[in-house]
This record gives sequence, C-alpha cells and structure tokens, in this order.
Amino acid sequence: MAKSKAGPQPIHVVSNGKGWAVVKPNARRALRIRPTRHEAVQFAKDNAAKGGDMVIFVHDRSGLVETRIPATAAARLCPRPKRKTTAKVSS
Amino acid sequence: MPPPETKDYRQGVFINCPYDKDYIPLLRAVLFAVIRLGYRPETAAERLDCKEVRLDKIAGLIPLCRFGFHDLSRNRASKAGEYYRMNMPFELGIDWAWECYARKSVEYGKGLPKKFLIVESTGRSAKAAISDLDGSDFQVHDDSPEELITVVRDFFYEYRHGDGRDDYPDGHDIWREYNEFLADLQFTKDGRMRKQAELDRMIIAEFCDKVREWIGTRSKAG
Repeated sequence: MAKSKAGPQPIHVVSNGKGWAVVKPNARRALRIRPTRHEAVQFAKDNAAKGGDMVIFVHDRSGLVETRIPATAAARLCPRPKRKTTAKVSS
Repeated sequence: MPPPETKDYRQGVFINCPYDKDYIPLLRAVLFAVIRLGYRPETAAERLDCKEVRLDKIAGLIPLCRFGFHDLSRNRASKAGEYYRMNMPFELGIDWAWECYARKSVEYGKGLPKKFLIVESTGRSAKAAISDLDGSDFQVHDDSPEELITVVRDFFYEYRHGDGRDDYPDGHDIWREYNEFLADLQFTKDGRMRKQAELDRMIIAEFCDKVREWIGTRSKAG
C-alpha cells in the first residue's frame, strides 16, 4: 500500500467475468470494461499517458500480475497528440 | 477449547480443500475473501507442528468453526494410474458428523448450527461421486478464482446482519481488491517482482497475516 502512495499511481487491468476491467485502487467502479485484455491494456495506456505519473499492472485470470508497464513506457507507446500552436498577431 | 457460542466460533471457517500446486490460486482467493468478509480461516496445513497428527489437527479445528468450506473438485484422477483424492470428502464427513452429534451434545448444546459451503469445479461431478449428498446445493467455481470469490461472498451474505455491517462488498469489489493485494504482494519495496515459485512457497499462516495487514492498512487509509 505504501509504495502505491509514494510512487507512481497504479492502474490495474483485471479480469471481469468474460471481459477485462481497467480500475484504479479504492474505486468502486471500473474506469472502463473491454471485451479483450489487449483492448483494456490499450485503454489503460491511453489513460496513463494523459494522467502523468502512473504504472499499469496487467493481471492474469488468477489475479497475479503478469506485466508491469511503467508510466514512461506507456507515454512512449501512446504519445500525447501535439497541440497546434497559433501565432499571436499583434494589431 | 472455547464454547461454540463465542465470537471465535461464529467467525471460524474450516477450509477443507486440496493443497496441490494447481489449487494454490483458488486457495489464495478463498483465504482473501474469508478474511476480507471478517471471518477467520482455519486450515490443517497452517499448523506446522510435526508432532501433531494431521487428523488430530482437523479434529481440533472443526469445533472452533461455525462454517465449513469444502471443495470436492478433486473427485476424479487427472491421469491414468493416479489415485483420486478422498481427503476432502472424508473431512466433510467429519465436519458433518460433528454437526450431527457433538454440537447437539450437552457440552455444545447452545452452539449455533454449522453452515457448509460445498463447492466443485464443474456441476454434478461431485454428486456423481457422492450420491449421499443428492439434494444438497453445491456451488460451482469453474476453477476460476474470480468466480470462487463471488461464491464465497454470496454464501456469507446471509450472515452479514449478525455482524452489523451495512456496506457489504460485492464479488467484483473483493476480486478487484484481491488483484490490488496481489500486486502489492508480488512487488518488493525496491520494485523487484517476486517469482511465482517464491509466492507459491509462502506458508498459509504468513499469507493470511499479509492479507490482514493489507486490509488493515487499506481501511485506515480510506
């Protein structure tokens, strides 16, 4: 528990019946439920890329963590779209 | 031995299940769910004192537990030449006999009746092996820890009012907490991921202590 608070915020991809849920700790509801784990991981990566200091734990059907994806890797895999810069025109 | 009407007896859950490697994910899930719901799991494998005979351990634990969790999944040999496991039906019989005879005796006359949760991996296979239990409702977990957690949760739902809990978690809640707990268990403070074998070797008493510690820390935090 301590390391979750001190370090990056975790996001978990866990089995959810026939699908896969993306959940944050202590949340009563899932952020999103996807039919496949691949899609759920993709959603978690998008979320991590937007959310800053995060780490994704991808669990298997038994509940154990199979892969841990650090936030930096998630951000690299899903780079944020660059904003268009508009030059200010002085009148 | 405490009298059956004490809090210890009301919270005790006798866990009767296989202890083989394939069953470890299911055993972990049961232990977590039982502790999370405020009960105390009791297993014969938890006590490592070699001078205690296994059967004596079982006989000593049964009177301490109002509830019995009995998994009859291993009712069929998995390969040719393998014996099928009779320990679980045997221990269910002891628990059942204690309920039928000992609890109703003068010594235990005031005890609450025992409650059994009998589970199997697929429907009907256990009843085919023990036809004496025809008419009893078995629950099915499909060898899925997620499903087993929901089965355990649903079984204890009936007794929630007795403990005054109004915020009773559903199966999904407990399953997600269990996943979070495992993530914390798998990674050491320095970020190293514990190997599967290391986790599988963890003794039951230590695992239960870690579950209690984690739940305690979590409830304080939130």
